[in-house]
Amino acid sequence: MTAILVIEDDPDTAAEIDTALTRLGFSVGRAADGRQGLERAVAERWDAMVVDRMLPALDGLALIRDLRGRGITTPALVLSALDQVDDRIAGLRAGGDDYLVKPFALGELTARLEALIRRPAGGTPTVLRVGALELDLVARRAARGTRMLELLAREFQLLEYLVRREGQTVTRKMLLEDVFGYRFEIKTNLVDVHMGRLRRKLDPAGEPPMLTTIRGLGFVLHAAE
Amino acid sequence: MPRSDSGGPGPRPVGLLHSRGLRWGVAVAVLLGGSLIAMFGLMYWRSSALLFDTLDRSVREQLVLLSARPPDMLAFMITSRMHHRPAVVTQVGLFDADLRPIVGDVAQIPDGLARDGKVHPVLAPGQPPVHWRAAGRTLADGRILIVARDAEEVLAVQTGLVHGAVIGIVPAILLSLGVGAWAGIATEQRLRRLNAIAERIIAGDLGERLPQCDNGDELDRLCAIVNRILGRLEEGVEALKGVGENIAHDLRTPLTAMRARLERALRLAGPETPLGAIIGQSIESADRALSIVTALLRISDIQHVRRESAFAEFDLAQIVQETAESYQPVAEEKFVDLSCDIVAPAAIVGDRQLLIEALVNLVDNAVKFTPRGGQARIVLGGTPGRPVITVSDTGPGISPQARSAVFQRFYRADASRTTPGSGLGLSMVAAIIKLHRFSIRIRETEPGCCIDILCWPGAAA
Repeated sequence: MTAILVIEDDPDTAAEIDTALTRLGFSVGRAADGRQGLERAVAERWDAMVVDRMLPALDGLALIRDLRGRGITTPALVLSALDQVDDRIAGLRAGGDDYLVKPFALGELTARLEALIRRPAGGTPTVLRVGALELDLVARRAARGTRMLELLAREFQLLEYLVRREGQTVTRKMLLEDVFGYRFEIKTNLVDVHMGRLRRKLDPAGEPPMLTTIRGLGFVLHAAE
Repeated sequence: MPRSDSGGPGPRPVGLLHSRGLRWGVAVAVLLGGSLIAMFGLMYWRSSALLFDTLDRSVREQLVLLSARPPDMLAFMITSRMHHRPAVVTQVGLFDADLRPIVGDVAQIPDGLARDGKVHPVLAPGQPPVHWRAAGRTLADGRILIVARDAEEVLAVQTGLVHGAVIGIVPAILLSLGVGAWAGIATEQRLRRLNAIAERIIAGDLGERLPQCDNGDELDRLCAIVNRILGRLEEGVEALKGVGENIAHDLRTPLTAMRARLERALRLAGPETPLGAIIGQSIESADRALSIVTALLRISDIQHVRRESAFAEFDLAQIVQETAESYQPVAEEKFVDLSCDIVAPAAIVGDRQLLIEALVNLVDNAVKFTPRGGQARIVLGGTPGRPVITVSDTGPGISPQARSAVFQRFYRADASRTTPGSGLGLSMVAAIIKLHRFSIRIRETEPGCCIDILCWPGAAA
């Protein structure tokens, strides 16, 4: 069973994260401050951690730095208040970790956590495949079977993001932040419009759909049966 | 909070002629000149009267003295007087009844001299004619006695006085006019500077202060008082902002927990049940509350943390192009014609991410508010070193009354009240523009809305 360590000092938030993750079938451990969190992170084996940035006894980032110093590479999702987002927080993504700004939706948290756990362990293939779908990252060409997909640059980026997370829920917010680079709210249905166009090109009538919409949350790409 | 000052009367146009200082200066100069002229006039009048009086008395006395002499002695006396020149200053002439001269140094009776024994100003015949004070009378034996005295000296004194006055008074008047004008212009310029600073304070820059020159005059004391008021106002506003931010900060954790519980409740109730529908609406409300909290904290983040560390040079054309491309499909789907016109590349120094956010916010708004069949336009123009991004649309626009308010927190024009959003989008844009010391303005267009971002530091000044 996949084990997640939740290090969060606010009992309400910790309880809700615990409940949501347990429901998804994760085994959840909890720690209420940084020192206890560090002890459990070192002593036990975890697949991922949810770490609050502001913790009593030991700061969340210091905790992660300490773990990395000991050679422990458990991926971490840092929960950060907006006014704490600085270069170090933003740098987490480069280090294979991720961060989420409070307040967040639980669906957002679980989607990101799953992405962290299933993150491919290195290697940079130049061609990505999901079922009959093939993406050539160098030539920027996409084809489903023998049919070439005429994609705009943005649509190609969206598809690449989905292909890299095959079978995982990708939220609108993840697409907005990671593909468009917009780390703020917008009023139009920008993501859905682009996804709609991508869907029409990827899944024309008559072909089994690869792209599924998850209501209220986001999208999943999987190989068509 | 919506402000209404944009609809109120603006400052009156200030002209130099309206300047109180200048008017006082001119008034003082006129008053000074007038009193100098009056004083001189009095002096001139009194001294002339005194001098003529002296002349006239001597003429009159001579006439009385000589007419009192026995008639047969008269010619002799007149002749002997002539020997005493220059001690004797009056001139005397004796004429017979036919006006022919008998004796004396007055050769001819001056024209128009009344022989009534009184002193009159006359012109003595000669080249050039000489001014005299003269008196004459007809004696008992029919002869005519004339006494006269040269008045040229007195006239010379008068002329001298006038010259002196011109030399003295004219420069004094000019000087006082100059000093008055200088004082007026100096005051005027100081008021204009104060006016410009006051405008910036009204525009929201509460950190600005009126300049004081420590000379302790009335204006200076007034500036000091205004500055103290501004200080208190700034403290108050900061405290108020702090309260809002603290509340937003404290609301975040319970709101997040509440939303999570609602999500759980929705799962338990089932999304298709009546209870599930209510819970779903509650989650939407919680999301709106969370988005307001997030936006508020983000604005204060932009305003307070001076994030100039993230400043780097980049080309505005690139972000304009990318934003237009991102929104093209959204516009097409709404049957809105979105065009993008990049006149020239424009390298600037700034926070790329934040400026993308500002631009996307404006374009997002433009596309959202433009009705089916309308147009939206993004233009990167301006001049080299002074690029201007213009986002315009044919939507409902922003009323003149609402223009300054839309950049304030929470303000939303009536037309947009039914559409979702925190109402903080343009406040965020304003905060980002302010961080860069750029300027944003809303222009009159009919129909629709046109917003310019002037992308160079200090554009606001």
